[in-house]
Amino acid sequence: MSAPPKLLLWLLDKLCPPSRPDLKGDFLEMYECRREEWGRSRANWAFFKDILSVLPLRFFIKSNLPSKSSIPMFSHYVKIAFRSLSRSKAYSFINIMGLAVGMAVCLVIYQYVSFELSYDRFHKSVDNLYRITQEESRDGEILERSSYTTFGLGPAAKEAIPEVNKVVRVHRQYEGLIIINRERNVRHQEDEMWYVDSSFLHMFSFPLQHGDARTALNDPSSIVITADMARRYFGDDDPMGKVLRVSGGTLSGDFLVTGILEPLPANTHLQFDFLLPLEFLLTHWRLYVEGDGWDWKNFVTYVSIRPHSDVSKVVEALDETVDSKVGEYLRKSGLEWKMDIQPITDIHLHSDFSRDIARNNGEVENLYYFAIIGILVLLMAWVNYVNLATARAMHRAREVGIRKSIGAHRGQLILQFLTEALLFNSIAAMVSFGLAMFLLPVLNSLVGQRMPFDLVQDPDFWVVFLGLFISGSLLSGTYPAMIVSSFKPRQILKSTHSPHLNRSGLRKALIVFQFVASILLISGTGLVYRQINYMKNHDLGMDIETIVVMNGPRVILETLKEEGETLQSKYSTFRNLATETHTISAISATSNIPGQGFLWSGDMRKDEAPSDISKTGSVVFVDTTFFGLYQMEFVAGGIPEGETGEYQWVVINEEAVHTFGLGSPEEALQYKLTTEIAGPIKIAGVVRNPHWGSPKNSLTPIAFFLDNQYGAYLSAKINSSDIQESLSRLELAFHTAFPNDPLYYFFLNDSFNRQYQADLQFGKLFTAFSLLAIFISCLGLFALVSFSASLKTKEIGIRKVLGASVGHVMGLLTKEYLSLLLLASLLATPLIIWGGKQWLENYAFRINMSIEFVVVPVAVLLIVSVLTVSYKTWSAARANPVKALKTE
Amino acid sequence: MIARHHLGEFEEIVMLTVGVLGENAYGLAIKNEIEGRLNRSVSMGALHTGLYRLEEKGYLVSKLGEATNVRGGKPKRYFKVTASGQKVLKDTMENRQKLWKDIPEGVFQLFPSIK
Repeated sequence: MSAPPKLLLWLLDKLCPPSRPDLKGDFLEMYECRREEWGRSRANWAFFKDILSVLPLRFFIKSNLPSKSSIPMFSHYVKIAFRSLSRSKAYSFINIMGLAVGMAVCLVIYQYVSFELSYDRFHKSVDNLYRITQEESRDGEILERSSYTTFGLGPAAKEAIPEVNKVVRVHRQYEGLIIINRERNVRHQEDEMWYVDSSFLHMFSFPLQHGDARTALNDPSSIVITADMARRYFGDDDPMGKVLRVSGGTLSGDFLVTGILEPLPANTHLQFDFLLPLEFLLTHWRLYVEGDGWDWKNFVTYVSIRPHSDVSKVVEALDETVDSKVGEYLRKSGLEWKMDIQPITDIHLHSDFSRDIARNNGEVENLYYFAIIGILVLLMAWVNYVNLATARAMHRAREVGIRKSIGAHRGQLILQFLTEALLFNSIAAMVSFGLAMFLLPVLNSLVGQRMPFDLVQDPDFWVVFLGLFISGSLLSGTYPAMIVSSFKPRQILKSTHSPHLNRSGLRKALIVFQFVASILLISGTGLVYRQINYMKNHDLGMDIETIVVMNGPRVILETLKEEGETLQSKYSTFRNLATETHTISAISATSNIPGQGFLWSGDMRKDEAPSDISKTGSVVFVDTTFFGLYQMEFVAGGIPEGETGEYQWVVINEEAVHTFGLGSPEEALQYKLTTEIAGPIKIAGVVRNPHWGSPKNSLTPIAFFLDNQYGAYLSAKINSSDIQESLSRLELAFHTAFPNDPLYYFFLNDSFNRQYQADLQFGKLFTAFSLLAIFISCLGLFALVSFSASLKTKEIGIRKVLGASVGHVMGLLTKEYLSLLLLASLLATPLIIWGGKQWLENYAFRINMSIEFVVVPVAVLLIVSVLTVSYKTWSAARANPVKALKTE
Repeated sequence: MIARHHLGEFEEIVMLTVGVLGENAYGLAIKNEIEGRLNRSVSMGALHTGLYRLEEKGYLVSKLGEATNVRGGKPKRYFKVTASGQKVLKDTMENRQKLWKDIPEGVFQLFPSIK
């Protein structure tokens, strides 16, 4: 007798309705005949086709057996799930809250991350837009990586490289200029004035409310302003065609408003208020007029590349262009310029340059940290569900037993408990949606961003939302469902005890995971704040307290000549007026202030050294009162008495002594320092290293030049006991000496500390999410202990009858969790040490990792979890044993 | 007659074939008979679906035979046409005949009308 292949038989079994055994018989008989007649393979094939033809029959035959998954059963599951949800409200609340908070955190972090990734993606031809960057090195040593280039590069690149079809150069005005609307007598100092090529508005997609993007910047005396600036200077008037006066030395002039921009989106690195034609700058600024376009690296060059061009070819061509233009000069001075291009979508998160036109750049590492936090929090919420549901399974054991004994399949039970998980998750999803809506503004204020509130319109968001919901239901529902459905009905129904869960190993592992995650998050929070405090309290090598900084005068420069005065004499007037009373002890005019970078950086060297060993140093122009006012400490030399001639001497910091190979500070005094600014001039003094920028950055060589005219900022040392009086004195003196200039002032320590803002934001976010995570794990722990206490009711009763104390019983219930906590802290330690070290690498001046970052979080968690646990154990231990023993 | 079922062409053939086979009318035999007589192929699924539906309508009854060693130990299911089945077959046939009869002479040129 010949039987068909096993596979076909199996298929036949699956497809033939079990109530029709004769059909199978017909099939087998037919197969036998056919095989004899047709041979094996043809018979098999025909058999297969015939089996498939049976499919419709299944729909007609009404089975006598209950179907495994019918709609009525499903609605029954939902009903039962709702009943069990409302029967133990506290448990359900904890579970749903945990899940909802976890999901909400994830959604908010998703929003944050996707916002950070969205920077500059709105430009029309974004895939073709790049920024040229350049790396300057000498003998393989990198001197500077910069996103700034010379203004000659752009036009040369466009001419020489066929792949480049558009070039836009941007120069951000370093010192704020005063902008005046004479008609309405509005005047302000503006810091975000950008000189740009006229095609700026074609290359980037910033829509204009008024004006023509193609021609708005063609005229050298035109100006394009944002809608906010239009309101600031013109109120409700129409600014188009009106005149704005720019006041600031050689860049002064009248400009015609030719365009008003829509408010700029938050997610662009190009954050400006005014656009002016670059042509104006290049024809009015002495240094640019005289040079040949390759001297000053003050310009950001954006290029648009023809679609589908080879990027590496463009880079090569850029190097060739540079070589043909300035190759000879570079070789002579032993320098090498390596050009590169950076997609503009990378600028926000992947920029690491000594200077950057973008003020709002982020760090991609932070996004990783947040993504990790989001995933941790979500996992903790799921773990909660799994733990609670399995613990509670013991209460549902009787139900399962009865269901099984009246004929429920295991599959049906799994489906039932999955339905419950689905119900919990869908309620949690709805709650989390509301929570996310509430959390997003909080997040916005924490990070100081203007993230648009468009969660709901983003299709990706819904994908993530649904993904979270479905994977959450499955992941959290499967394990409890498997456990519960595996109960043996005979055991459950025979004994009055709840079944013992031998598989509590997984539950313990999950608790350990929650503990580890909590410890990591608490530790991270502590680390971030300790580092920020460390930087704040770091000895800066100078005094920045009780210093008020004012903007230097600009408008006055225009009328000095007519008045026959010098700026220095105006400063003297101001200084004398300000220091008349003793509330202000000193005034100093400088080109820069701490925390605001440098005006000029460039090649410097020891006087007799050949020019090809120059290193990069930075310059601050100061007056003679500067060192005293900032209480800089001279380690060698000092300010030469009586020598007030400008550019006659220079003061350097210790780092400069080291970098330029000047030996010891004392030895340095014998040398001269050669710069492109003033040639070789004598070194008069060496000051202890000041932290000119945040201690996050390493120290750089600085040279302080005497220049009495250079007052971008005016610093005033004030008497802290009467700040109001000091400020009004300053105001009076300023307005008397510089009658047409608006006054702005701020406290230097505030502005210096603003450098830590990014770190602080990171710290705040970390704290917020950690608190939520700890909240979730406490919820879980609380519920878990409640259940294990209620399971042990009788045991506790007996122990108490036999004489156990309250403390003893509490210890009994708590012990288990403490050992898990210990295990968790052991596991977390290496992670903390490793992760902490990684993070601290970003900081030049940093705290040391110590055991404290393990001990403190563990202690915190210990306290929190003991409090959580003892609330329940206390009542369990205190309960009257008679009651416990009476319950059956 | 109220809500009388119309027999489909395939249903009619199946019932007639069950009648032809008499005592021996079981699934595979019916299939082979139809295929042999009418020279058309009938899939097992379609046949059994048809048999099942006719049984539901009450035109056929079936009973399982003894299980034997051939056919993988599976029994045969023998079908019989019920009284209502026979009636519906007869109605169908009479309706047809009436139609044939009423075709006027000379319309069908290939053969004369049945008178």
